Amino acid sequence: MTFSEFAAARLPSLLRYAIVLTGDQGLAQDVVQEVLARAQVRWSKIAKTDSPDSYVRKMVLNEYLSWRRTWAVRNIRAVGERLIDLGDRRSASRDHAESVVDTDDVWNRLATLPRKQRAVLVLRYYEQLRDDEIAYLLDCAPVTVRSNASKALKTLRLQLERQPITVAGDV
Amino acid sequence: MNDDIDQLSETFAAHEHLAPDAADVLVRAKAIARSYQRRRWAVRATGGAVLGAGLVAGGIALPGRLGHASSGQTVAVQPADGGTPSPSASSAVYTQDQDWAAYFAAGYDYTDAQQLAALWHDSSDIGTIKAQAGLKLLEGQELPIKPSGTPETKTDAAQTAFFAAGYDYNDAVTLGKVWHETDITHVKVQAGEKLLAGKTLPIKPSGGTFVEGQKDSGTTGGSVATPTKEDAAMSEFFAEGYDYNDAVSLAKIWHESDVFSVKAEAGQKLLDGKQLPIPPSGTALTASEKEQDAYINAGYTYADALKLGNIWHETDITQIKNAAGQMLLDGKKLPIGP
Repeated sequence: MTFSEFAAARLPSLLRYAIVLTGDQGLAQDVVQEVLARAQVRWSKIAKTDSPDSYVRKMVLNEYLSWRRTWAVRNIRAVGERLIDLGDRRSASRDHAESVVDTDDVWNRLATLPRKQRAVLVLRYYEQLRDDEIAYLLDCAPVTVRSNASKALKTLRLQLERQPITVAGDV
Repeated sequence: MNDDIDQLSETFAAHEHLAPDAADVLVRAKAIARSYQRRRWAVRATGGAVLGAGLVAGGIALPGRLGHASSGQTVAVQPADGGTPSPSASSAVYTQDQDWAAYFAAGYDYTDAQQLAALWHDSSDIGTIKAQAGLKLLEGQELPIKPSGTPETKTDAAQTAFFAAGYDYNDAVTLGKVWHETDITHVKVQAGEKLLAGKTLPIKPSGGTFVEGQKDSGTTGGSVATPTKEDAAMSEFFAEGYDYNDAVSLAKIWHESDVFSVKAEAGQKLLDGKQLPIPPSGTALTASEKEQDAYINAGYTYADALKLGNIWHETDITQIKNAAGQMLLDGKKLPIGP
């Protein structure tokens, strides 16, 4: 597979991954174009790997995690406002509008997470990876993945683990 | 629980459409790649001697420390013309930072350092090997192996200089507005080139470099939260090998319905030296893993470990992370922010 073939086939998916990971269009573009440029230069080596797609996706993840910026803190409001505008344009029915508001609310809360916590959620619930796979990608212990996910979910107040537990014999 | 997981998945899926335009990104990426490639050819044409564009091309000044230069001393490397090695390089005094920068800028990596250590029959730690190799490169010598990676380009160097000066992505956005430039990557490169040329930028850096006394968020970029006592307790819960299912079991035993609170409560008991009514399902982290976990959870990175190594005169990154993690576990503050 040539670099051009790879880009034609995988770039849209990479960009979707990047926007979900970064939560910011400008940063997603910045990250992917930097990664793609480096990937093109090193393509002969990348093409020989078992999965060039996984390799480049990891490059995107690393680029995002190593981005020494505080953009998210300052862009929370801007991103939120922009998404609400988009949500208004997208809403075609009341039910759909409610759904958009819900997802936009979660999206805005995601912007408040530390990068690694956000990455864990994206890798778990968007990339559908197991904790040991995430641990490998993030170069940390699986326990750290679980810990980060738990803290992130707490912050998001999704009440993921707040559902009543049915105590044996109580039913 | 599944509803909440679905909600997250739906949120991600609902915002995929915000992805930037693929055609636009590809055009820009190819343009950047061409500049990388040109630089690569230039490096090859000069026998791989154009090292660390950030160090050589613009005469960047780095703070001196450890080894070759005394602490606090600033050593300026003279600029080169047309990509030729600096004639003054061989007589210059370099810091270990500069040695490492030259090593990585030439495209060498950790694996290369292992190969060099074997070739030189040198049992020093890998950090020292990298510094020795970097020094040779700075002095215009060639290494016995070719680099695994691509040498750093002038674009890379400019961006490195931009961030090293404490500027960040937001600053680039602000500069883009000042300069009426929408390509943020181009702004960073342009700004970095100015810095390398000794010029000042129209705005001051807003972050990135740690200043003594500066307020420290204690978390990685993008966070607005600071670690709480509850966070520490929960980390301890997981660190001791307990997991979600254990928390559910404990919730049943304690007749609690809030599993999250159970994890925090259980973690606090563990921190207080008490035992829980059930053993952990998993294996507890070793002391070293706990230290590294504390280090990572506080938002510190490999690059931060290098900075701490500079301060502590230590090159073993694992030891640095462990020492830093232990300090964090002891409630102490590190000399740099994450």
